[in-house]
Amino acid sequence: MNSLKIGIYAGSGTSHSWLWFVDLFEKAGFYDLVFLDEASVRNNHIKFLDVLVISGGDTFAVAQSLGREGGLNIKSFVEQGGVYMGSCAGAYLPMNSSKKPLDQFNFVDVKITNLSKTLPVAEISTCKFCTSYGCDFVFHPVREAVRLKTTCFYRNDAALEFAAPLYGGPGMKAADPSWVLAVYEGFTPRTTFLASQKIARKTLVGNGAVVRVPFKKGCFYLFGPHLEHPKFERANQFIIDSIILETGKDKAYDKSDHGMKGFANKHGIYGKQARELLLTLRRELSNSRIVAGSLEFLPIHWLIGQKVYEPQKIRVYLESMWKRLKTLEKNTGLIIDPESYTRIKTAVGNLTIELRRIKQQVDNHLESLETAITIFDLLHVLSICFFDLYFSNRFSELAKDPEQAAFKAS
Amino acid sequence: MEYLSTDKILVIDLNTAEVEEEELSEALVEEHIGGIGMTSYLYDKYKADDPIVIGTGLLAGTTYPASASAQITAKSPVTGKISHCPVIYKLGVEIKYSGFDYIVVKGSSPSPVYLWIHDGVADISDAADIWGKGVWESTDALRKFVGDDLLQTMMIGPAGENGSDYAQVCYNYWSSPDRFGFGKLFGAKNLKGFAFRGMGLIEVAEPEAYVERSLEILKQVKENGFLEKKGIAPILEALGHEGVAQWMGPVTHRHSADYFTPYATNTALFLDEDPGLLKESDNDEPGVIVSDILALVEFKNLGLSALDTGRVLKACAKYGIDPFAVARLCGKTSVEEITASFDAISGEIAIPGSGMFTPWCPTTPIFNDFDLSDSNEIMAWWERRQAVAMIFGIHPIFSLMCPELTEENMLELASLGTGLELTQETLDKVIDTIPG
Repeated sequence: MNSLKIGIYAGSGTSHSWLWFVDLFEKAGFYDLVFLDEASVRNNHIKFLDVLVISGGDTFAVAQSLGREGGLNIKSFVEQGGVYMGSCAGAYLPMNSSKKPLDQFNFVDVKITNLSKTLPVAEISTCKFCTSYGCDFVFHPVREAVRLKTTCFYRNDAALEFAAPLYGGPGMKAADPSWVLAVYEGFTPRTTFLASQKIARKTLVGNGAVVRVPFKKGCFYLFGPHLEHPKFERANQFIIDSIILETGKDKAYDKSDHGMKGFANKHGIYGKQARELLLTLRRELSNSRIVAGSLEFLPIHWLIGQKVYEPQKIRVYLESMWKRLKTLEKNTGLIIDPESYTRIKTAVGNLTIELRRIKQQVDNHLESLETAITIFDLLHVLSICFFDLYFSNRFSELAKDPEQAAFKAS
Repeated sequence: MEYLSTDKILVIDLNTAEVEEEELSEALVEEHIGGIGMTSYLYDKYKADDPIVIGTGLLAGTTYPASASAQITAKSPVTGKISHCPVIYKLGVEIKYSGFDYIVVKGSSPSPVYLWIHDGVADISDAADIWGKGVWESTDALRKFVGDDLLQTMMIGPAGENGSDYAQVCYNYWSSPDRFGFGKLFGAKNLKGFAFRGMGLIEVAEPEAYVERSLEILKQVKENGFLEKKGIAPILEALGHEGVAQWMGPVTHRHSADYFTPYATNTALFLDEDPGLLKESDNDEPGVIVSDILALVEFKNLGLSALDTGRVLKACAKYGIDPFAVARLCGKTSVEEITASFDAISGEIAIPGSGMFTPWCPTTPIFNDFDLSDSNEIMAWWERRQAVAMIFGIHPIFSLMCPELTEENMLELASLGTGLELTQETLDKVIDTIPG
């Protein structure tokens, strides 16, 4: 087991793609995961981490949520030796920008190649083609799998080639060419062109897909495509290799609060109370999956901030929790702090209520945006609590924590 | 029991509102196989509590042809015998997918309840809002509440609540094979019914071999000429009821099959719209799905038109009453008189043979003669065929049509699916121990 402490931002503004990082890290044996909302970043809980991950979503909403304090804390984290990994929205976030609130995150001199004052002609009419970026537009010339190739600055013996899906991430031009670890090499039969192939090539091919920007003792990794997507194993391995490489280089910064000390505020629940919590989770996740599955038959989507949310995204959250429930159910006791215990029970119950409400609203052709916003907020709260519970128990079990051993014995 | 199974037996005590789970062990499967082999065992185990036992066939919900069926085993409040009612349409397999192979309901609830079974969770829920309502209204209300139109229900209507001997447990909106008055039993327990929804998966011990053999058997089935036919009219004509197709023609809309069943054993009649309409209906449910072919014929014999027969069948399904009993016993000949007579009918409906299997299922082979001639031989064959179908979860009417579905290949698939050695000797023993 690797005891690196990795924080995954799962707060406001994120889409479901942070769940892919969860899958990736669990598969790689990184169980000491911390799930962060905007408050925990603003309150600098990130200072205890080795790696901070900010994945896809709505860059403006993420920046707004993290605010000035969040920006300063991220900067300080990296300066002191932390590794920042930003994918898609998380890659745009630390790039220099004059736009508010992104100007609180002006950390790296990397330019976006898919930024334009005049919008190219869309080949396919879709709401996913562009998003406004102040007076400009960030446009997305392609979606789905693209080909990447590493540069000599990643490995100078032989270049690696692999595919990864691009949904809304940037093409990048770095101020220092040595920062570019991989470029967009081309497209695949699965690439969907939203602009002409000519524009797509001009915007992406040869430009940075993975950029590493050194920043005092630490560094920023920016991923244009979603290398963490679970169907792209070689891209996944690139992330894991990078983490191992970086954290092996410099472990000099303060890690005194790592490891088991993180459980200092967590309590155990036993027997009937643990069984009841697990049954509540099973019951309400099941109720939510059922109604969420039913919503997928309906032609509906919601524009929340700058992002379009389809009903299918609800199930991505639910399934990521559901598939881990059986593992949790094997425990006779659970490590959970009292606040999280209350929060998880409330969130999972409210989620069923809100999903049933939105189904009735959609069935009756009523306005449903407000309910959708509530649902995605609840999904964030619930999944943060759930994964915190799940990985606390997995980590403690594997670290042979005496408390957990006592639970099992009881 | 890891394979072809959810590994769980659910035991619900309505007296105390307690829910318990038991493990379905391999030893139990080796001894009782599944379906009514197991529900009979569970009935016997809990018989002091007058249980209702719901079970799924061992092969139900898989790629074995017509593996569509579950069963209700209980003591009929009308005949006093332990009886087995098939669960058909899409409901049979939904039970297994909802997380339990077997469900035992003990005792009576102090107030009306329904059981919401989903993804391995069983909730005893207050039925105050649906008690007193018809089957259709109740199903609609639960689907709306849960937020899923694919929710599968097993419900009683006013007939069951009022204690009618002819009360049926209905499936979704439709009449069922229940000729045992199980609807009355549900009502006496203050049990409005069940709602099932599951998104579970079933593991198979040897998946590739299982699918390969299933498809080979399906191919053999498809070579049998009867699969060129569709719907209930050809079945009735094969049973000697002439002119059904012409009589039903003006209102026949479509035919539908149960889960993975190669023959469409159900026919939809359109009552409130032109059955030739080639667009999505503007009405939520403009007709009625007919699986009870013998009830249909009884109404035809009373002189009703197919349109009026459809209207009466729809009314029976909403009220939760056995349409065959209504047709046979009401003594009326108009839609209005018949539907007004539901609470007043009386008389006896004979259950053939040992009384444990439903005469909703014709008591003769259909389309193929199975090399049978003598009537005693046919009745013995029918009872065994019903027992085997309900052990393995095979559609009971389809099993009467299809000689390619043999005990031998059901056992073969059961062994491939479970990884256990299930033999003809075991099957014979299980059949012998089924109470009747």
